[in-house]
Amino acid sequence: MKFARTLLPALAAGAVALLLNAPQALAAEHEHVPTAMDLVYGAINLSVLLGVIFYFARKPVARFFRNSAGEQRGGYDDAVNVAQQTKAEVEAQKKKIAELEGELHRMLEDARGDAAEEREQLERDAAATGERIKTQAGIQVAQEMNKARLALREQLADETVRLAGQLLSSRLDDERRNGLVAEYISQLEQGS
Amino acid sequence: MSGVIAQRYARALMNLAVQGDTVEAVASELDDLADAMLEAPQLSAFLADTRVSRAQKQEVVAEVLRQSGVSELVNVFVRFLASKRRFALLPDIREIFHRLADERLGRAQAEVTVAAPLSGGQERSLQEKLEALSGKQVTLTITVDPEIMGGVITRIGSILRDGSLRNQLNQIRQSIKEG
Repeated sequence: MKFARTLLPALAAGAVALLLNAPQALAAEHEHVPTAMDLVYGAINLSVLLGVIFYFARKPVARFFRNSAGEQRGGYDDAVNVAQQTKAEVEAQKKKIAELEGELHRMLEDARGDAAEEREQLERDAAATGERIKTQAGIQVAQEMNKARLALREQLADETVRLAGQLLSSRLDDERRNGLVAEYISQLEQGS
Repeated sequence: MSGVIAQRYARALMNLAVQGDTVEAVASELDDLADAMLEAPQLSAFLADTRVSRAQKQEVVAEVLRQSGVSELVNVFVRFLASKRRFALLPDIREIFHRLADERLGRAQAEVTVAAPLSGGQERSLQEKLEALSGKQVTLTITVDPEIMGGVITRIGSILRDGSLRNQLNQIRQSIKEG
């Protein structure tokens, strides 16, 4: 844009010069056969044109190139800065990653330690629970055995008495019953 | 609670009967009245009916006593009982009075349980032994219960003597159970 602004006056001047010489050039083309002088005039016109162009265009062109170089240099500097910043950021990120890895490692170690401790505690609890269950089971077994023994003894007693009762009933006659009554009366006497 | 109240009334009646030397007669009259009461439940229902006035009840009781011809002591006692709305306690009072009378007169009731009926000789022998043991004149009330299998059970007051085969078998059962 800047280039266009500086070059525009030079181009305008060149165009004015061409317009000024255009009638002569056209007249010479239609009326005369070109001569050596025509070539000289043409050369002069061209020289004047180039001179005008140079005169008006040198500063804008120089400024353009100067600006362009500055811009390129600025861009280069910016790129260097960006590259440096990026490098610094990459370094920072690497450092952070290293720190995170360290933290992660510590966390893993801690977790392993906690897990080992917890496992030991669980093992101790399990052992204690197992011991308790074993003891309770032993007590229960003893109780059940005792209960079964008592039930068996009770059953045995009931059956024994039932059979004895049946036997006695079958063998008891009036004589034996009278004997029992006499025995009772006799015992009353002894009791007194 | 009613047992305690009946005992109180029975003791009071006993004291009055002893003063009048009419223990046996009062016991007999109480028996008649209590039996009559048991045989006529409508009388008990009438006396327990709260819709009937006390005067009407007193009138009926007086009529019953007049017809039964009881002594003045029993007459007054039973009317007093009715006035206190305790007429229903009469059977309990009768029982307690008999026990008190037995104690006072040196008598005892012996409840005897046997597996088979006793002969006359066995009864007399048993009665003699029990009288010798208790030091009282014993009256036997004999119950036959084949379940006891054999032997005799006697109860005088709160003293129980169980010489039955059933009891012996139960003792054997207990000793087996206890190991």
